[in-house]
Amino acid sequence: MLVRVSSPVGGLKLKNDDAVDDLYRFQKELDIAKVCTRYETQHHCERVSVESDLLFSRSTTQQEEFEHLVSRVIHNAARLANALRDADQGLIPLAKERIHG
Amino acid sequence: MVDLNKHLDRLMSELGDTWERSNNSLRAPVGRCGRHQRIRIAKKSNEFVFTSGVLGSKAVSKNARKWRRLARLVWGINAEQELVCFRFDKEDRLVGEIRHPADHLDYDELRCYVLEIAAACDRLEFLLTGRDVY
Repeated sequence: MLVRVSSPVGGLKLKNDDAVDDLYRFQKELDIAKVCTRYETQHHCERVSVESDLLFSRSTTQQEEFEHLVSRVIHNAARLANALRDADQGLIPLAKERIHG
Repeated sequence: MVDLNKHLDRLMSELGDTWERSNNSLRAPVGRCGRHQRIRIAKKSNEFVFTSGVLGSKAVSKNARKWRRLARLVWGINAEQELVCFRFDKEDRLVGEIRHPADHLDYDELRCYVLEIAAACDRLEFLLTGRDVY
């Protein structure tokens, strides 16, 4: 089974080149692996999140592995959100946190 | 502590002569058309990082319009892609990556990661360029 952890960053208008430039730069500088975007029809922007997957087996997966995954994803999403806010990218607050499994 | 060397020895013995290994780097056959993909496994702080190339920095940063379009595409693919994530590294290369806590990597996970990252990166490289560089 594959467990995916997703932590939302916020909405960004990626039609705007400056927003793409900043997201690209921070993904590199902050060493964030899985930056994901999904188009948000309601707000006409991209929903940005940081995500990561883990192969999960009841018999072999350790609790520490899961804790490591969750803390890394949340930590990186917070760093990315702060960096985008500091760069004056208007992050659009979006409802509903998603966790896939 | 995980013995990466032991896992890689076992992987090579199971997957056969078509695979090549140099220390912690592998060259994996992909599909049936003679394509290959290189995979590097490195330990960074408390994680094993599996990396495989998709596009070089020249191809990524050719012009601003192209890399912005590529970045939008890659972040969208990440939302649907399982296990492997695509990212731009510090040299502006597009790479596939999987990270796993270093203390908890078992052989089956390593085998799965190697096969998945080789297939996903080769597929994206083929879709973007049609070539087989990495």
